[in-house]
Amino acid sequence: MLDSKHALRREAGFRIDAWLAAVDDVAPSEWKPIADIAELPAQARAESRYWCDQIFCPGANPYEAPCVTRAVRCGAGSAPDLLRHDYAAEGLLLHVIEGRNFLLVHVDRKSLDVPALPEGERAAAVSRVAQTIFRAPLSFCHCAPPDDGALFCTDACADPLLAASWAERAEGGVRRGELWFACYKRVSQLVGFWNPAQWFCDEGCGVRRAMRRAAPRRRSKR
Amino acid sequence: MNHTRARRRSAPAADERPREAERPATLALRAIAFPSSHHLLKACSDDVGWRYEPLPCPAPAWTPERHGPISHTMGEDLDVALTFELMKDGRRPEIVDLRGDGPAALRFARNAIRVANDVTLVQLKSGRPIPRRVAKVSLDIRWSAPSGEPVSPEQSENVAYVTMGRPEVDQAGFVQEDGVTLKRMDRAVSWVESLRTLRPHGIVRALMERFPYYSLRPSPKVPPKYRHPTYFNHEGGAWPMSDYVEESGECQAIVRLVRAILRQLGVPGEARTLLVWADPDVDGGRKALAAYWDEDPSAGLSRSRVVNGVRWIAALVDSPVEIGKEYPASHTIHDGGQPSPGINRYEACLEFTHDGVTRLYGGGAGIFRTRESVLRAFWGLIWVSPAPNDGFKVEEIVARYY
Repeated sequence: MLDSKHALRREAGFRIDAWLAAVDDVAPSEWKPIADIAELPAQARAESRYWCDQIFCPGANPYEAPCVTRAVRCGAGSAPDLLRHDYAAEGLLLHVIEGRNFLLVHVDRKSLDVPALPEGERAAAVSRVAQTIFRAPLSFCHCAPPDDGALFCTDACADPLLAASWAERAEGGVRRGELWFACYKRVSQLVGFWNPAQWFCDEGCGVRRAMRRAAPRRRSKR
Repeated sequence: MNHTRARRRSAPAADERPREAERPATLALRAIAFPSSHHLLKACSDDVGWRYEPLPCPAPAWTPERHGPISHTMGEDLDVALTFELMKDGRRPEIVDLRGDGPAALRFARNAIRVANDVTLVQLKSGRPIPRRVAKVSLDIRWSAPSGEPVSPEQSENVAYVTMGRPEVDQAGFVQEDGVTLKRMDRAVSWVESLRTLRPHGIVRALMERFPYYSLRPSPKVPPKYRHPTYFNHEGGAWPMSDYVEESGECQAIVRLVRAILRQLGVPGEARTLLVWADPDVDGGRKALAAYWDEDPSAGLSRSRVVNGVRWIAALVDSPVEIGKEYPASHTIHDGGQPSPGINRYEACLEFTHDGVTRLYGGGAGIFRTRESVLRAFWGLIWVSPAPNDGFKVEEIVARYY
């Protein structure tokens, strides 16, 4: 019988695996470069900007860094819409991939090779990078010195579906020698997340806005 | 105009001089201050946007070169401190009489003012209080001297923002919305002036009606620096939302703006953001639980359990659902344009108390007398389990609210 903590850990693990896989599954040819962020649908652009401002320190924010290259992948069916920013900031090469509900940061191995560090220095290196790029003070728990395949998070008891803020829980790990972090785009009032496949859908956004106008009126009549 | 006339006559022909000497000297207005005003207005001429910057507005409020704004409480007498100089262009009496006729029958009068050699300061009080309504008033006062001296200029002009009470500013500096600036005062007065009510609950109701819905998604129409929809920024907090009403904001942001307007205008009463939810483990979801957002911004429904190895999460759903059915992520748009049910942690509303009466104003969800009635903003309380693509499956309906 699973207890609540194990069930939460398993579910969070599935979600992160799914997000990482969704990014892995994108073939290089599927990324469509965009020269100007204005090419992105306005609603998605506003959301991306908002979350990058929320999550990143100004010096590591892809909307404030110079020379950022961007690309999008428009998901088909249930595949998520994705936005990618590649840039250098704070002495690190960063690859930031956003879905509607998550923000994934890959720290290029060329700028930090965690497995190549002595075991005793790895956790501190992870912590230093987190302090450098994230606006909130994230403290990751490491059961062992981070090695390839390691997974860690800031608070295993915080529920990603119920957190009041993105800073309540962030994930991290090392894959193929590369340090990565995942942040949840949490909206305090909601349980769970938005539909990841409707991020770039302007029509959907417009209809949703109309719905939000209408819904309270329906409620007030009752 | 008299001043111009006096200057034109400053070099009279020699044969005119005796008559000129008999003409009364011009009473030249040099400055006017309003001691009974609030003296809280800041950033009158600097473009600081919606931010509070403690840049004092020029004092005195009026000089011949400068006509600054003031704010004043309604129903109180308007005090004027007027400085004048008796010019040497004519006969200089030892005493003069002074009158001022302002708007809304505001009159000022003082007789037998002893004139000093250089400048004379005289205190005047309006013969009646400022009318009891929130308003932006052109405080144009026509000045005259019944004792016969021409007054120059004949009229002083200021803008007066009339408020219900003295603005509350004890949180300026650490609450973004607190503090009186010209831009904020102007907006607050313009929104409340048109309501034509002085009932605090009436004002709150009307202000909340400007926001018939709340928004949880950043709007591309609002500049990123304002951080829509949370309006957590250093640019005046929720004040910029008054420029983007159509885009609305999170309920807590709406409440912060309404509260800021009330405090700017000294409207009595207390406004706070209240989060209301229910919990399956508390009275079967029938009892309303609540917390003030400013005391606990992470409050809300946070209940999960494991059933047969599956994690269930409690949620407040905003439209009808069926047990056993899977739904896509909250507010997914179907092909027909209809949104799917949304699952929530709480309903946020403005709790306003005045004169012993408390009401809960939901962002478009109506006005409630009790916290329990706020739950009727939802269809029900349910248990859900995660489904693919951030969807959910309804496992159990705990309570229905309508």
